[in-house]
Amino acid sequence: MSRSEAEVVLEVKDLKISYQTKQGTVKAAEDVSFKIHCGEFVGLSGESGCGKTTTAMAIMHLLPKEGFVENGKILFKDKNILDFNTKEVQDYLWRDVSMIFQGAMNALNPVHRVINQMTTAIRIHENITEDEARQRSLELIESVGIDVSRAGAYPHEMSGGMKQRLMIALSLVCHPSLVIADEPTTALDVMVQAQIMELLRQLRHRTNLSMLLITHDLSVIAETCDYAIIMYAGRITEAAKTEQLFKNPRHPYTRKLISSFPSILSDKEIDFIPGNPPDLINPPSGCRFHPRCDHAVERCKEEQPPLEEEECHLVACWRWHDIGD
Amino acid sequence: MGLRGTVVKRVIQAIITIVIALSIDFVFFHLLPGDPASLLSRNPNIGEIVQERIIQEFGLDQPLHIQYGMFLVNFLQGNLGVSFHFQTDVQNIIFPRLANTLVLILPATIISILTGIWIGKKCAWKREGRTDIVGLLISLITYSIPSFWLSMFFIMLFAVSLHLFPLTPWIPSANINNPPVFLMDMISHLILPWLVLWIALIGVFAIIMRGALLDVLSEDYMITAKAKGRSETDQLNKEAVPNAMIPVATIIALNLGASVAGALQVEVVFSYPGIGRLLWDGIIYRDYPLLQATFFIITVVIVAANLIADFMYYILDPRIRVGTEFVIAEEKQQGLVRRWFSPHRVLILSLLVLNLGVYLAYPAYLLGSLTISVLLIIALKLRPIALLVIERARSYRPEVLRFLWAQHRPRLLVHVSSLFLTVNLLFFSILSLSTFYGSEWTVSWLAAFIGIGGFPPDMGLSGLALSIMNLLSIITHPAITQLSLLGIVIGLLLSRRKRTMGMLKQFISSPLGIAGTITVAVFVCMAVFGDILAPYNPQQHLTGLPYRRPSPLPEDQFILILSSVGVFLSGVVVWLFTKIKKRQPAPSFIGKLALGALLLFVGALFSIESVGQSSTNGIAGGIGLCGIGLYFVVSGYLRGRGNLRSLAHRETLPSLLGILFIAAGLAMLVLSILAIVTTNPTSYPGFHVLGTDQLGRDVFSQLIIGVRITLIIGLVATTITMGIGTLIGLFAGYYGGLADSVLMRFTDVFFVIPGLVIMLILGAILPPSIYTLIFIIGIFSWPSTARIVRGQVLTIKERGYIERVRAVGGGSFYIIGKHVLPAVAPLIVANTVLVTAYAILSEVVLDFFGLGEPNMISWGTMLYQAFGSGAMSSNLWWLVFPPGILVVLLLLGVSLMGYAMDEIANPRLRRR
Repeated sequence: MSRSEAEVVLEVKDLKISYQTKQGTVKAAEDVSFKIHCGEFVGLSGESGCGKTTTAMAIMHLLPKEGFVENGKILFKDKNILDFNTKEVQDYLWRDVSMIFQGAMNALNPVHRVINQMTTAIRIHENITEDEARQRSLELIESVGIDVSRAGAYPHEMSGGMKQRLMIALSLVCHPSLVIADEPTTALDVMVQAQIMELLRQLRHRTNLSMLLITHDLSVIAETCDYAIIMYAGRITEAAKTEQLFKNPRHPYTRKLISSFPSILSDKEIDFIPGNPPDLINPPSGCRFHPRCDHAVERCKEEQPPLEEEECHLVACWRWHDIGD
Repeated sequence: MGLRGTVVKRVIQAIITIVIALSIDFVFFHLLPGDPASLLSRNPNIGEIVQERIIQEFGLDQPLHIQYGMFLVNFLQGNLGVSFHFQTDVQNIIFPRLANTLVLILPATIISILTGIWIGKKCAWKREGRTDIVGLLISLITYSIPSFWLSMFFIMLFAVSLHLFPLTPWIPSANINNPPVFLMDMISHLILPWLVLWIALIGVFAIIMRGALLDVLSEDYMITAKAKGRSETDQLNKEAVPNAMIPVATIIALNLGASVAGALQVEVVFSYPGIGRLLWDGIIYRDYPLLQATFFIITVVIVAANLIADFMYYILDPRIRVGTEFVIAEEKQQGLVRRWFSPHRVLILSLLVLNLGVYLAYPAYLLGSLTISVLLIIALKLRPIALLVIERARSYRPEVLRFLWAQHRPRLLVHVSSLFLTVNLLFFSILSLSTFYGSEWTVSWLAAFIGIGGFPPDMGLSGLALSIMNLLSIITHPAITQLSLLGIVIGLLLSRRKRTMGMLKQFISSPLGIAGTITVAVFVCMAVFGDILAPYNPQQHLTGLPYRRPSPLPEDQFILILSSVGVFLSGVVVWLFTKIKKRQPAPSFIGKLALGALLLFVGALFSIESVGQSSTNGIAGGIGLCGIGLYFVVSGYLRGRGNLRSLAHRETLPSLLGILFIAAGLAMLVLSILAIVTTNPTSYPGFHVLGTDQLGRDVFSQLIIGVRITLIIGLVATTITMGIGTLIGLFAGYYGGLADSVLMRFTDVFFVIPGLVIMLILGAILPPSIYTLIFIIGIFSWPSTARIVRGQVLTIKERGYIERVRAVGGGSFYIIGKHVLPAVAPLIVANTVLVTAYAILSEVVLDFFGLGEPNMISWGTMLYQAFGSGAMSSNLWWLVFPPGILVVLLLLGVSLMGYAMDEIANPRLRRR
């Protein structure tokens, strides 16, 4: 099924988010637009501070009090969640969209047993008995690969990998339509990373789940996601189907990102992007990547390139035609 | 370790604590001059036979160590001696009283804890919102009210004026046959005391809960809770609070001493027949057996309460209860024992023990043995000592000094000041310890150091001896000590200019901090300018008829004051108006200019008046104020001369007017007050703003002068506390191991024994004087500081850079001085202010118990005399309210400052 035919679960339109700080207004995200279809895994990638987590937090209504949405819509199944009142937000959270947080070390409450944290989540949203909730939770715990005998444990009795897997189970407990995974493998060692990724792959094959996978690790996106979005300095620079993106990167930033991965196969020199991510209170004029771009010209400094679409592959660059292999 | 293991361990610790407390008890009462047997025989109340029995049971005719043993055995069995005053076995008196006290304390404490937790919860959830500020203010205000004063206030209000509650104390034996009437009687007598205790304790628990909850709210799992769709109430009550209760439970346990301290004061004022009242009786009648027993019983009760609290902690925290044992493998340090007991250390330890023995057995030879020990140590360690001295001396050679002058002037200041301080203190210690010039010389040094009296005293020497003494006195002069200390502090602050400036900025932006600083500044001015502000000599009897009510102000002066207040208030209204309506505020340099001008005016006014009345304090203070005012005027002018254009805006006019009116109003107010206090005694004889007391002394003058004692004692005691606490915390935290365990056990004991009780008992034993008060307060407030510093040092040790410095070859002292101390400094500063508040409160309470110097004028003593002369029942409100209100205001000011600093410096209260 081609991408545009499947049902759209989440649509983000022209989202603009800023943070009000003492030093000024931080333009954390601007003109962010994308769609997530049913059953699709979308990867969102970029350097630290590029706006990925901010976008995710906005979708979950979890922006800190300094953050505010200046502009744009977030449509979950055609309803703009930014217009929700408190009650609607509480219903929407976890039942429709849930989140797997970065670093589950502290994401679980130390004084409640793990199974109870899951049943509470269920019973906030559904009117079922305690036993039914327990049953469902135990099934989920088992499906993420944790022995059910450990279900009654406290978080401090579990290892990091177990806690992360538990977070995944917790996020699925109300059968949400969309799960946002914020750097689910970053805080873990490689072996556990592999286990988690395998788990995510299984989920993708077994269920109808849609996922927004946020990570700075392109290899994770390459392995698990159908569609990839690259952000830089709060704006989307490129978005395409994963295969297309990796085979034919169009934006200079993406090209550099991909080429900075060392290769086992060839004796390539390690490439890197010079400079630092920009200050988002006073971002660079025109294209925000121009200070670090090898191909920048005058126009790049003056005008911001819009996202152009060609063959379902979006790029925001004035010169992507000229740069070719 | 399962439940049983923990129970056993904790119970053993509790028993050890009780034994230590008993030992302290034993030692205290042997500090008294003379031995117990003769004390006993001098007391007329106890008959021969009874005396014999006591001497038998407590082994009073036996050597010291046998006495100690019998004392322990007796007390642990419940044989608590015979009371001098009540002439019967103490155990017969004490247990019924204990029951009464428990009836008073338990309900009040429990309700306080519950309400306090509720308030703290509301504050933390809406941090920095209106709820938070109101809640904080309520907590800080109730924390600043001394329980005894609140009791007096309530009695005068509810019992005397409104006749709502009985005026006479409760006599349990009455109505004992008639249960319902007994109950009614008891409850009607308990309501006011319960109310007082409840109010006094709320603040403590609210602040504790707020702090703990703020920590919890910044944790990641709270975001998960919100993401699950939990309602706000559920997030707070079901996810956050259970986590916050863990530290809260322990801290509440540690603060149970506050309950006891409060209950003590309440019982005294209400004449409630409990243990607190018994302690008071013991102090008044100097009934030492009674005091010993009471101290013991109170300690046992608190230890028991702490034990219960420990188990609560166990129940509340699953991390302790289930599975994981947080036992970090102890580094097996090979040869630890050998290293610790190196020959040198053994020698020093044995010399210490020897000297202690000499002190206890043959005090006259102490001086000799000390001198020999010191000489011995110097002889043995001559080489290292010499090397150390040479190395230190080298840091003062000209090249180094020149370099410092060029590059690091503040450091030069610190360096040179340290040299002066070292020499000064070295000579002082030698002269003092050897009692070369006798103890009078040392005492006058101490007095001069805190600002009383002159130095050196007249020793009746002449000729060469006199010249030598003068020379030595110059070298050891306390003024040099003060100045060099000041130099070090200023140098340290200046060398970290950026950081200090940053913190100052944060402090200024906190409204509570500013309010606190202004309040404290007003009190400091009161102290400095006291001589001219006090219309009469506070010690002078019969400046008017005794017990005179406050006199009404003459009409013209009244109008003057009213108009100044009016101008000030209108300025405030206009300024608030501009804030609310969000009009353009006047540029900041106007504020600086206005403040500067006001300070200059007030300073000049006071200086002139001080010259007229030859008050050196006043002149110095006035010049100081003028200096500060000048600084603001100059900086305001410099800032403003470029910006004059912004003045032309019509928009800023209201705000400008507001500021001008405020400044003008304040200036007029100060002028009027000064006029009143200086002219009234002569132009209107018999005029007393706040009336007179039972000896005809002017109350207002007493209030003005009284602040000095409170401030002096508070500040000096705080310095001692901070010094001891910081040193102990630093070394315990840094060295860890055996030293840490021993020190922590020690502080645990001090935590459990309520500070106030120890202070009261010591105050009863030692001769009453200002030095006793300073000593007592200073020595017993250090445990919490030591704990906090130690905790912070441990956190810093966790950070990698200490290991790195070690690897590069940094020695321990170097690491502590250069790396650990600066990191701990902000916390210490914040803690200092809070400790000051505690010291001031302790001083007032001790004075109220009659333990201050008899001729000293202080607010506490004023209240003590008011209480004693029955001011409450005669409704002489001007003797009761003014001192109490001033105490509350001063404490509130200091607490606000300390609280604002804590928010800045304490890394735990970080924002998310």
